[in-house]
Amino acid sequence: MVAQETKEPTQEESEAERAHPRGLAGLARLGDAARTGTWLAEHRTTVLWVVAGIVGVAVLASLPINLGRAAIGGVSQGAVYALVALGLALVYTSTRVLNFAQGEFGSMGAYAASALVVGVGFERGDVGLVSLFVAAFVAVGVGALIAVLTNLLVIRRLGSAFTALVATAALFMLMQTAQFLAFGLQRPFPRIREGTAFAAFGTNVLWQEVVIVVVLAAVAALLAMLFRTPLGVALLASAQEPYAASLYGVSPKTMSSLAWGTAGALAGLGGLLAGGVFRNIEPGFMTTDYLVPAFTGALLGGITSMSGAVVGALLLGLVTTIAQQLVTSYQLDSAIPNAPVASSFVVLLIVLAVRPTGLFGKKG
Amino acid sequence: MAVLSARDVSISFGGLKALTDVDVEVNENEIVGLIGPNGAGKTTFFNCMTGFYTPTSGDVFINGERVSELRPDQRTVRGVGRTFQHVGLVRSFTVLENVMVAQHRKVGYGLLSGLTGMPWALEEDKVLRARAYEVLDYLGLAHLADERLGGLSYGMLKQVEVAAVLGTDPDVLMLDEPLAGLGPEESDEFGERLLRMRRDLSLTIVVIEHHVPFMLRVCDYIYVLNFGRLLAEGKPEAIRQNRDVAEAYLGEGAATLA
Amino acid sequence: MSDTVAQPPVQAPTEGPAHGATGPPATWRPSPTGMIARALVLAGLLAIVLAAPPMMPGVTTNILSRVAVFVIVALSLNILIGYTGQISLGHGAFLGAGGFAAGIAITNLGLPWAFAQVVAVLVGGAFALLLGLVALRVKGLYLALVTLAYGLFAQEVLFGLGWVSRGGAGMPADRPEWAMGDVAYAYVCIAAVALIWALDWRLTSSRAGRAIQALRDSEKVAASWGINVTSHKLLAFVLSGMVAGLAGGLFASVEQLVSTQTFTLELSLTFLFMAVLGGAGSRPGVVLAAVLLGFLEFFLDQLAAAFDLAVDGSAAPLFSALLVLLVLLFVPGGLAQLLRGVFRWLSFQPFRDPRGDDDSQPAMGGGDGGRP
Repeated sequence: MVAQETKEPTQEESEAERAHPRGLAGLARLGDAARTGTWLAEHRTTVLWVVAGIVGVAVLASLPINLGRAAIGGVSQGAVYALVALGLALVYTSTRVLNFAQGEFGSMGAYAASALVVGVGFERGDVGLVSLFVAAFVAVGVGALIAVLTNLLVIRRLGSAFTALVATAALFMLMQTAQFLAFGLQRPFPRIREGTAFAAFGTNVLWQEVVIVVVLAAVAALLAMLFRTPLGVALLASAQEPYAASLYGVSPKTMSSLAWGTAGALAGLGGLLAGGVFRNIEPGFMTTDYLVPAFTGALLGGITSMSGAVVGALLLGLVTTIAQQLVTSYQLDSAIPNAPVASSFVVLLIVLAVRPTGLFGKKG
Repeated sequence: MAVLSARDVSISFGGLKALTDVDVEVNENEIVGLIGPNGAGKTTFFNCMTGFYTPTSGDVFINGERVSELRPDQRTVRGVGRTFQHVGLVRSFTVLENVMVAQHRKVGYGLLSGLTGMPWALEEDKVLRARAYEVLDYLGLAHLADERLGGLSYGMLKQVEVAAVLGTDPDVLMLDEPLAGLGPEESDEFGERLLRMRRDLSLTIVVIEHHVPFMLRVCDYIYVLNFGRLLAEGKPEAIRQNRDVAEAYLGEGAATLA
Repeated sequence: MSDTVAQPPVQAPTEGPAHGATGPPATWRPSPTGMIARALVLAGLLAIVLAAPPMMPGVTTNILSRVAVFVIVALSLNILIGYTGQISLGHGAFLGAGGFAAGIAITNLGLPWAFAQVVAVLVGGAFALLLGLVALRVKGLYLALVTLAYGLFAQEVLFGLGWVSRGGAGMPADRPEWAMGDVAYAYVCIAAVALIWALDWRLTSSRAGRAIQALRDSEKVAASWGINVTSHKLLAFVLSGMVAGLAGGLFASVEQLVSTQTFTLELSLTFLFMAVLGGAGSRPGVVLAAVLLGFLEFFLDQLAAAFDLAVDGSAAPLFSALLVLLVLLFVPGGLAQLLRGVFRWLSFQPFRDPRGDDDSQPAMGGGDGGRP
């Protein structure tokens, strides 16, 4: 054993942390100690949430935004964030890699769909059922394929979390530039269904938004079922216990590829849906517009929690949509060109400063 | 006078008491031993004394000054040097560079003089290098001066670590399992060296070590920890004949140690 | 027992060189021929650098200045990644902060150019101090995310403010009267590289730099040696920010206009790639990598023009990303590992390390093998 950093037993370390909580955690603990048995004290957290909620709604109502639009737009925006965030959380949970290329798996899927699925009406924007399925198959397949290859050819050969992070950043640049070289600056992309589905909450709900939310719901249901199977349990545990996977007869290698592949597929789906939002795609669009909000959403939910990632991403969708509306109504577009991203890293900074483990993350 | 003392030091990690009311006094120029079964809290005690943990209750004193809330580096400045259970060295530096960095607090020049390469800063760095070499020479490690750590055995690294801590010019030297990786002969040699260091450098030494015969031979006074409590304390002879200690180490029914 | 063995009293090791009978081993010196050969090669390299500004074709002299600025940013990032073991994905923010600060100082406040550079350095340091304070609380991958968010915040919000970017038109930053021409300004940038190189070398071979490198390997060990971990970590961030701030100040006057769109995530990642490609912790490696990646676009453009290729400078990010991937996979120590013999030889040491090759270096920096 070569001159290593001195290591106390890790359990002891974390216990030391718990024994000496710093900063906000320490304050909260002091508050815990001062608790009395009254109803108010017992339900303090709930009361605080309710109060915060009322104040929040009051503030929102007083803002120059359309609340119905913000809610609908926020949920559909958040749903795409959630697809990317799920992949980030899955990859982080099972391989402890912060994946910078997650967004680009989606861009590649979208580009592949727009390049390959021609001649069935996809490129013209009248998406029939057949071309839709083919496009979805291509986007998801390409996303998953690139993700699995990334894991097998690059990530598994690297030692530290730091090198893996740099490698995924390099892959992001690689894919973004490749898209630019192959397809140029912009490429039209169809919506799955054009037009308005129905009117509600004082706003028109677009088919596009309905489709996105339905897809997220379906994906969430599927994943929820997957994570209840022994395989899914092992998948989520594989970072902590690499050999737990082998108990189910699956090698750790296959297990990590499964995690990356699923993440890539989710990103591909996200790319397909996000491509239609602006009706065109640009090189690296899934990174520039979706990666930071997805990181923030995943972190907000506690990066090792799948349901947390979905909830965090949906919350963030609301925040970014409201931010966008505010920026528009106060005419700040020139100062803040990308309000969703700008607002999401403000949230990211707040989360990291106040509660790095996120809303639902486990401590330690 | 006690150079180092712990009064009623207790520490718990999330409800689990790692140390309970530990009282230790280390007098000037003594070699004090700390023994006890695995998990008895010896290293935790070291960490409390050197500032890596803050005791839940109780106090730590260096030369009569209360230091319970001070950071590790502040305690080093007050004369406490320590080694770690697993080697505590900077792995990307050579042996000599390690001892040089360890003399951090002996350097007088400031940041700007260092950055601009003022003559006095260069001169001081030269002295620093010479001193580091002397420390290595004193411990018989001079031939390793330019070696990288990667090429050294575990036992060697533990010795280099002692050299580095000597570089901090401590009054109290706290050694955590210094014999790890050494053979019986080297262990004997190290024992001799410990006694010599105490005399030459007027050091006070605290040692954690599992090798009981070594401890009984070298130490002036021994504290025995078990389950985070002091089980016994006394001169080596008394510890040798203490039944509780023997039981803690060897199990029920054991008569005496060694 | 051993107390009975009479031992001659030995002087305390920390009190004067009484025991220095053997003394430190003599430092290795090259043979006279070796000296001359090394001096000639170094002089040749220096001559190439000095001859470059007037030799650049047409209007491309500014590319040289820009590469010099990138070298300084790479050295600045190396202080964090290589020496301190902290990652920064938002180093473009410091560059931009320095750039806009210099622009505002020159254009809005009418300060002389040299004074504006001082302002840029101070602003860069202040920005980095803020990030350093966060880094004291947040570690590892979370810190990486903070630096990312920090960089994006600067890019998307701060640099977009109307009074900073002049409503998106960009902040003008004139050159000093004594270096108005492209060639003259390129020499200014090259001189700045030399200055930062020298300071960086002094940093790694003086007390503060050694302490910073010690806490990279282990904060606990550093603390046990009396090193104040908190203040040295902050110091590393501030120094890195100040160097990047200077780079920004120089950068502002290269095109004589600072625009918000320059300081993108891609630019920050490029700096990261420079540090990794060069071999974090190695001064010559990082500088060489910054020169390579900095010139890549220009080089590809020239190549495309000469041979009528379809792939031109816009493919540069693709090639640099590929290079970084290859390095991570096959030569984790980067150019510093690949060229360590050359670097050793050029720093007046033997080509081969008598102790054998050191491949045990950590992925995140490997000490300071080659002196300047």
